[in-house]
Amino acid sequence: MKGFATSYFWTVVVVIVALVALLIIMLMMICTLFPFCPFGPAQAVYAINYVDAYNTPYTIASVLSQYNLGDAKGNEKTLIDYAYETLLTGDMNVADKEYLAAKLKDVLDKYKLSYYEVFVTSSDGPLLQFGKTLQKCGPKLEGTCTVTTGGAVDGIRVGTCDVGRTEINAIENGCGFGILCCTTVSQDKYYKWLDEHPGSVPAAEQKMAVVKCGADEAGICTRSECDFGEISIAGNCKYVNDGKTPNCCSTNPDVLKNAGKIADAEIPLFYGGKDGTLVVRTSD
Amino acid sequence: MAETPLMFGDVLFQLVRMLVFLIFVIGMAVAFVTIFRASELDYAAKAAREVGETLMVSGASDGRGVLVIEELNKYKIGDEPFARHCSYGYKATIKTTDGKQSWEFGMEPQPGMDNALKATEKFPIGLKHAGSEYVEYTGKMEITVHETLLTQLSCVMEMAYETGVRQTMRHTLTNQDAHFAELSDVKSSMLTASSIYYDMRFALKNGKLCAVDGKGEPISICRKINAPFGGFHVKYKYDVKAAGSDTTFAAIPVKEPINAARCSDIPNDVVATTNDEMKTVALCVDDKELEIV
Repeated sequence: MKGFATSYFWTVVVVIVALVALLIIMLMMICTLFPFCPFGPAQAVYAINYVDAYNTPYTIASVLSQYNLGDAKGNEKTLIDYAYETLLTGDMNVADKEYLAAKLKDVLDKYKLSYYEVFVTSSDGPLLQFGKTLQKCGPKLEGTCTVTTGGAVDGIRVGTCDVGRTEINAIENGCGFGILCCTTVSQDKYYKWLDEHPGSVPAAEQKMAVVKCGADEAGICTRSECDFGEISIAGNCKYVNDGKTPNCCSTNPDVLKNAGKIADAEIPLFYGGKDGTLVVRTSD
Repeated sequence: MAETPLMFGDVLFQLVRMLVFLIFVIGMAVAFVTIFRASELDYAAKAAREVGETLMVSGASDGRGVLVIEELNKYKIGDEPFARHCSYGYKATIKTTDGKQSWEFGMEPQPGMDNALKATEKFPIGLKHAGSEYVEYTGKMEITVHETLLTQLSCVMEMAYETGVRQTMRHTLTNQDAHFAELSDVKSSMLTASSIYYDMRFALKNGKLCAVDGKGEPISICRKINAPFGGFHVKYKYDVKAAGSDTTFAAIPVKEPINAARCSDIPNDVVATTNDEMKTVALCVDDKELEIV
């Protein structure tokens, strides 16, 4: 029969493929019976679950918009009033900032949220930010308030902000006594900063490599465990810098957002030709 | 050139090929069905969130998540105000964060029913008095939902009353459902498993659906329903060996009150065909699977 040899060959190939596919399916189904199976049915069940964090910021934002936070002079003021004032003036004086930060902390801490952040942005950039886990700092809120690492570890200088981050002058957006304002920089800028700031602790010439880690390279492998101002994320840092920087820490809240652990409630602000946004970002 | 006739080997090859593909298709179908069954949604958690979200924007609130104290004061355990889930009962516990004030209302879960489908969700809230401009207290609201035979029956009965159409519900009567029944008889046997008989009765008590005993006294937590109901009584044999008896409950809109345990005992001419004809809802079970005594 003409062409039969070709038909026979490809049929055998397809049959083998089908048999292998069947075998894989059977192995997967058998695997789900065991607790160590990486793709058990339980995983599928949790895959279609509700992420509670999505609605909490809206409720918190609603409560804060009706909560009399007041001001240092004893006037009645809600968060919305503060947001509009900041949008119109472009800034807030230090006394008001300190008062509002303390008052927001007082209110939001009652909800025992693991993460919260309230910020106002205009079309020109961020104007104001208060947070629990991440407190922004610096002239353009480009840094995060961080506990110092102490400068040198095991004779190797890592800087006061740990690997890959440097201190900046916070000016009016400071972090308070004993807390540094640190920002993430490139390796070259980090090394340059180390050279310019030798510090009081004697250290070797060796410097730690700045290695990004975690999903979307949102973290940096650091010497100290992720502390205030840093989010601990999964990243392979175990062998980086000879194991001296085993912790993957990030200052980017997007890592928590992408994981569904925090969410934003955005309230648009429009007044006198200016527009901005009040954002309430919380965990569940 | 004349075609070569098919040999036995060729025919066998074609058959093997078809057989392999048949097995492949069946295998894929089984795999899809298995994955579908594994990909369940957590309906209890979903119900808890839905009830909580509804409460936060209901008549009890003044703005999302800001609850009015005077509204909360109006209700107590036993009421299900502001929100209702058809097949899940809910209980709301609201507390100020300083713990000095608290409110509770809704339907208590049936005591002892550990296996009831249950879920609890917590919501951050604010609290204020009516007329107050500002939030006065921060607080937490905890919503616990639970699904039992009674809540499911209340759901199908209300749906039958609202739609005027017969509603059915598949249910496996297990040991847990003994909370809604009275032990009637136990017949021991040397050769086979003992036979357990239950009397299950449901009745309306002050507008609430309750499981009742022979004297008509409630033996369960009750749930308010918006449907007239003349009562229901079935004596059934519990399948000890299978640890449950599958059955189908039906809520049927009827023209006049009728007390029939078996759905087949409800005559067609009693069944309402329009909402105008409907006077009440009858509850019955399909006796094809359940052994009714």
